Amino acid sequence: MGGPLTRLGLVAVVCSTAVSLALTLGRQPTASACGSQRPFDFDTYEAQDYVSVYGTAIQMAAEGKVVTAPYNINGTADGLIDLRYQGLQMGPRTARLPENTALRIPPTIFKSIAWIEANWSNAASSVPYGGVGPVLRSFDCGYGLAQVTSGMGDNTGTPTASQAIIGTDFVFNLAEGARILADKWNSAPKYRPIAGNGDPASIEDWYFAIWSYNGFAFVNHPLNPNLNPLRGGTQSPIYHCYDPSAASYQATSSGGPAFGYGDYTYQERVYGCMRYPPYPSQGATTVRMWQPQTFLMPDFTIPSVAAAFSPEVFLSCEDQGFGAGCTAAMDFPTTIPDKQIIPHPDLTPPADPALTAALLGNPMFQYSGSQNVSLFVMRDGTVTRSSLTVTNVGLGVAPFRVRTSAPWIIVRHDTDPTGRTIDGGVAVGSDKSVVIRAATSGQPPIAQQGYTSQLIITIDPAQMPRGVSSGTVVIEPLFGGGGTFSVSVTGVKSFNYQTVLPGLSTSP
Amino acid sequence: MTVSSRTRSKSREASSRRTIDALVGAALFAIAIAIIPVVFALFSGGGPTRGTTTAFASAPSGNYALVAKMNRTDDAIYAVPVDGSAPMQVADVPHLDGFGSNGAVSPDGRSLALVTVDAGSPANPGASLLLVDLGTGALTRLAVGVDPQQTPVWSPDGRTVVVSRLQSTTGALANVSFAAVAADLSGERSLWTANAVLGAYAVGFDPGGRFVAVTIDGRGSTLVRDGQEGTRLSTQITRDWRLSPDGTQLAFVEADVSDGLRYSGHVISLTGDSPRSATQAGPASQSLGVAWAPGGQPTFGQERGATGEARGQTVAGFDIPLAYSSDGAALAVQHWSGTGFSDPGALDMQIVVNGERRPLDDFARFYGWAAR
Repeated sequence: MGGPLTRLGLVAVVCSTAVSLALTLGRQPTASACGSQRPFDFDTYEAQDYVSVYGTAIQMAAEGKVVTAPYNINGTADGLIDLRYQGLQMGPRTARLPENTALRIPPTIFKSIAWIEANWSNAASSVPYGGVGPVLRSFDCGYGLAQVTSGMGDNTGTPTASQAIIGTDFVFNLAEGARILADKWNSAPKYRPIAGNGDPASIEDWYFAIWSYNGFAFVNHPLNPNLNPLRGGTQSPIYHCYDPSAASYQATSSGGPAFGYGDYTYQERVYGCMRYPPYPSQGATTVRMWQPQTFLMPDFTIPSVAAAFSPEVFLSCEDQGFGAGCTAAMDFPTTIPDKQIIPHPDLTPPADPALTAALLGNPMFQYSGSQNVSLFVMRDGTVTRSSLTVTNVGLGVAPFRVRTSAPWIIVRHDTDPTGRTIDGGVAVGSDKSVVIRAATSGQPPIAQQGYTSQLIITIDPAQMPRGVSSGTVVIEPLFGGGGTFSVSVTGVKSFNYQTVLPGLSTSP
Repeated sequence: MTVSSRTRSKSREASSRRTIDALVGAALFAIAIAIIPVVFALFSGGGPTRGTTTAFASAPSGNYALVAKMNRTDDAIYAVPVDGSAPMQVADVPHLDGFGSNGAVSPDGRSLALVTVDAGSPANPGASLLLVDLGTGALTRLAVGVDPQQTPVWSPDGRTVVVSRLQSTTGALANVSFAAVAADLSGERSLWTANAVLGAYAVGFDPGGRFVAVTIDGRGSTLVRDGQEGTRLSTQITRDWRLSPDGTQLAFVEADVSDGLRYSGHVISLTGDSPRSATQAGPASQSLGVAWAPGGQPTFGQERGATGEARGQTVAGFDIPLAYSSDGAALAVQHWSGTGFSDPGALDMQIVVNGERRPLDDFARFYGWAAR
């Protein structure tokens, strides 16, 4: 090895390389929505027959049929799971009726939102359909199919039961997404304008609520100067959802689109995929994923519609500093008889409430592993580990939370990257086929009935104090029976573990 | 024995060893300093032609349109000669599915600045400022976390590129900062922040070198120079802001919603006059897009039937002008085949030269002109 200056130079090289790499590659900042701690990391199940399963689950959530009662998994405040559908207000601003759970979100709106947000994927792209793995999480901590961001920040190091079930189970993820969308709808008229008569059965009347699901920001204003005014083929732009047969699809000479997803506002994308539903990537690829809906986009050539989009009235709806909230100036009509403009309903028939039971299953937890473990940090920096398995001997998907009492206790899969810490996961009942190895070129996927979550409990030596420490790991069912499983952990670290580079460590 | 005790024992070696050590250490420090931009550049690029020479590098003199084929997950950047000869691919820029890049050609025509969506999620995208060396196709990431959708603006000396970043939001209002990012990777300089606006957009530089932008808030659209509010352009949302070649005038399009949406062209002098209407057409006409001819007047794209100034309206449809070449010989346009903005028909990118139209087949984005 070289002398101190040589080593210092080596450190500088490595550090500068690391800085450069961080500058160049580490370009997905953790947004404030992720909270003050690390983002939560959950496992989830990605349905095999995703078109059918997610289509049903989305509709059930939109109709408020998924979660009908609150419950508590451990009797404490953070164990409460209350994802009940709150219902929808109805009516114009002068005659607004209170929330009514019998009123549904037009299911096709929520189907299209889940497509725009997540391409109907609940898990990360590395997880095959039918597999179990990390949940889809955006850089700003939007989780799952509904890309739920609100309330998903980590400020304590441990997810609440609600956060955990939203991150681990697509049914509850969608339930929360529907609640958020309903909340956007119910924000009118105080914090949002009203389109039309505020009739939740009218697809057109959801314009501002859809906009708000992505944030009621000017970037989604239809007159955003960064967008081409003719992007939709008319002055009432609508996204083509990559359907070349769409009237709004502007093709280049080779047939490719002249305008892509990024050239439209959020609500234009959602409405576009409602009108031109996508085709699935597997299975029945010639059948659209849902029934196309008929509706009208706002026609900005009509004075009563256009006037609602001036910057002055947009600002009047500003949440902060305007005690009166939104004025009627930003409302726009969706019924204009002399122009044959009428609103349209979602023609999707109501879902059978009995489908809820099939979606949720009847999970029953069973565990194996030592409930009293001792773990060691070895002199070479390696650590020992203990195994734990979570099995669902019932039916359906069994979501669970992982709660550790100290940050030095790590729970993950043996095959996970060292830095991963699992905050929740799933075990799948034997009624479901689970893909354990994705298809490769020429090789079909390998599947099995059910999935047992095999976990390890280990130590993060960098976070563990020197000496002997103790803590606990608690596995808590988020939905289903079988009780919790607690593990007492004793960690032993007899020397400080701090390596910068081999040969450059400090001690004692 | 601990690692540190081994280190201490080794510190008692001969002085000659210390001298060598010092030299080696100094050399490694130098490497460390040098490696930052190298590694930054190495890992920031994504173009297949990195480090090679593009056909454009040895292309004959003439005007070239810098355009892109917009694929789902990448933009294929081409230089298209105005004489009708074959397009030359310059680079390939990956991006998030469905997000085409916006760009601007440097004043010397050797580089292309791109704002490319390469981070985040489709519903919440993040973007980087990239530099494309048109001679080699090399991509360099100059800045991260910039606003998607914006078009970057070059400083007149070509040393920096101005981009905006959303700093924070309070409800619908945002604080948007502007930064001048050095094209040589030497860093970036904060310019100013537009507070409590709906949007803020970089436009260019005036003859005094002041950075010109437009902010939109509840009062409408306002011209801002070096952070100082100037002329109120409109009580409405405006767009398509273009400075005249000498930087003394600003042409723009107003999106007036006071009686149904209507787009109209306007020009103001940056010497302090109130905006004057630039559209001479009758009430049935609307305008979109602005291009300044060198030393001339602005050209606004007008709906068919208007008596506007757009060149090349001898064929069916209408043009949205994009930019003249630096010598004024060629005009890039979006050509629409329809009858007006409510029924625009099919879109083609075209170059209009001496009244002739040359299609830019298969290209969906125009970034500017480069003269060789």
